[in-house]
Amino acid sequence: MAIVKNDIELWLAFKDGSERALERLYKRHFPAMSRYGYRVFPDRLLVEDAIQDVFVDLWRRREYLSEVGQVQPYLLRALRNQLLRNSRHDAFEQAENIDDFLDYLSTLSAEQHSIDRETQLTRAQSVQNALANLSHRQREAIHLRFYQGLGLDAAAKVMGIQKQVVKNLLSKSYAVLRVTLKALISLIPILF
Amino acid sequence: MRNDYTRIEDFLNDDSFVSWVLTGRDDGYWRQFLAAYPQQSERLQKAQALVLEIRNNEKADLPPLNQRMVWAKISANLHDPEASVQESRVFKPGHYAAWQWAVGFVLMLGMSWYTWRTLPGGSITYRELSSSIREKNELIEKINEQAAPLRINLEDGSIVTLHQHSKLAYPRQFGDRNRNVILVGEAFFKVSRDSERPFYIYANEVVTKVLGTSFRIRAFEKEPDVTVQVSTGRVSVYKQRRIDLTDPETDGLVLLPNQEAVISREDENLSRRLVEWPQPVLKREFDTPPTRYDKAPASRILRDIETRYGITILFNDDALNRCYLTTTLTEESLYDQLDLICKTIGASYKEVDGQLVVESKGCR
Repeated sequence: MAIVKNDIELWLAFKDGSERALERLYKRHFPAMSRYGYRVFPDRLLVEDAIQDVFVDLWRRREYLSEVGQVQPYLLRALRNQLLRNSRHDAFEQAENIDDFLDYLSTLSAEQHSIDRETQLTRAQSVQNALANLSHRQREAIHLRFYQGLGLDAAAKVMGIQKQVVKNLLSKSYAVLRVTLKALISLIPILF
Repeated sequence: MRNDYTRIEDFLNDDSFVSWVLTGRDDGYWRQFLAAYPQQSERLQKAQALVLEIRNNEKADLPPLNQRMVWAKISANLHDPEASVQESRVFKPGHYAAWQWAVGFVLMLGMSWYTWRTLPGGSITYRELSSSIREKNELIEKINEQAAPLRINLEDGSIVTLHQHSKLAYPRQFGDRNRNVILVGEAFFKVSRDSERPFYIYANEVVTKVLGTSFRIRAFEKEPDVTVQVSTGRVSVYKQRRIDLTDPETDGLVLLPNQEAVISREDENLSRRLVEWPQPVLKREFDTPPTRYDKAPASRILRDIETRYGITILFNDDALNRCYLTTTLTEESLYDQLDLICKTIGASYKEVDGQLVVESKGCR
């Protein structure tokens, strides 16, 4: 019978040179990593390559890696960095600076957009539609928090920003969601 | 126990709350909280519903990433760190803008091919092969369990005759640069000529590259050897392994008609010899009568045989020019004919590296 090891045990085994432990970590985290990677960069080849690089890199540096408290945020952070390194996507790099401005703009337009549509909203609107109105970075923060289940600190580390910035991204997201989801009031009991 | 939640957001910003909803951690605490502050129940439930709604939405579609293939590449790189550095440099920055589907297919194929070659010796399974080629095109897989051979027509006009317990995987549409198929088991290939797009057959660790020709490949996963036999044309065969240089073919063998290569999967052994029953290369399209020789020099007869079977026969012209014999060449096997000729003129022959050497002291 296979003994189920937790992430930390696998991490230690892999640092000791167990390829099998690395493979198990890979298998365990691949779905979450690919979802996150794809959320950041919807480019299949780019994400596949970045995940490959992350694990090959981990293996090569295994002797120098420190022990980690949580494996998942570490992997997500590594993946995000790798994606950035591999892509040299100008727009994305600059986004760090003009991020707040873009988020502000997208919030405005999304709100305006939603209000315009609200009047003619007769059919049910799913959370999916609401999420589609979020900016890229808001969506990333939402994903890390509510799909990956990261705490605010961990999410901030993964995204490489201050905890307060994550909070801001999230509350702007809530604002967008609130407006979009108003139409749902009668359908599902979500109220702000 | 704190109770300063005045908005749904306050719950959403609480790490413990979110992880409770998602994973059930801190369950005791939140049960107590609900019991202590029933007035929070509605707000809490709404926050809970929202978190689950978002989680399910984010979980809904898994991007179409190929988990197995990515691991195959990682695994190959673990043993060869330097190669992986090189690979990263070659395939990384700048290329992504161009990495659209069409180009991507070719590059991915190249990369996966590279990876196979970097695999240290070990055997390569059908699964690894197919997951690497399955890129742009879904592969069509044909399996023949019947005793009767199965004829498969490929998109480019090539015909594959698949034997029993054998499997062929091929794309519905071949790429622009090459034509790749995967074989497990035994099959006869009649490849239509297209010098722009070489035809590659991946069978276990052996790659057979052709432009247009006919030949047979036998590569069962359980057998230690892979055999390639050529009927017509020219075929190049090589192993996929790590020490290959940029052009792996330099390590391979070129096979001519009626030659076969036997490739040992265990070691690096690649040998060439004549097939057991050489067949005439020149098709007797309009039923030519058996060739009759009346006191003809042996050298001429041997040249004719050479042409007919596409086999190189080495002999000393001067010695055999003066050996005359009268005989008729029919559908008999090559070796029977050679036996007859050599017996008559007092010569002997042997096979060396897929060629025949006739030794004679000459005739008086």
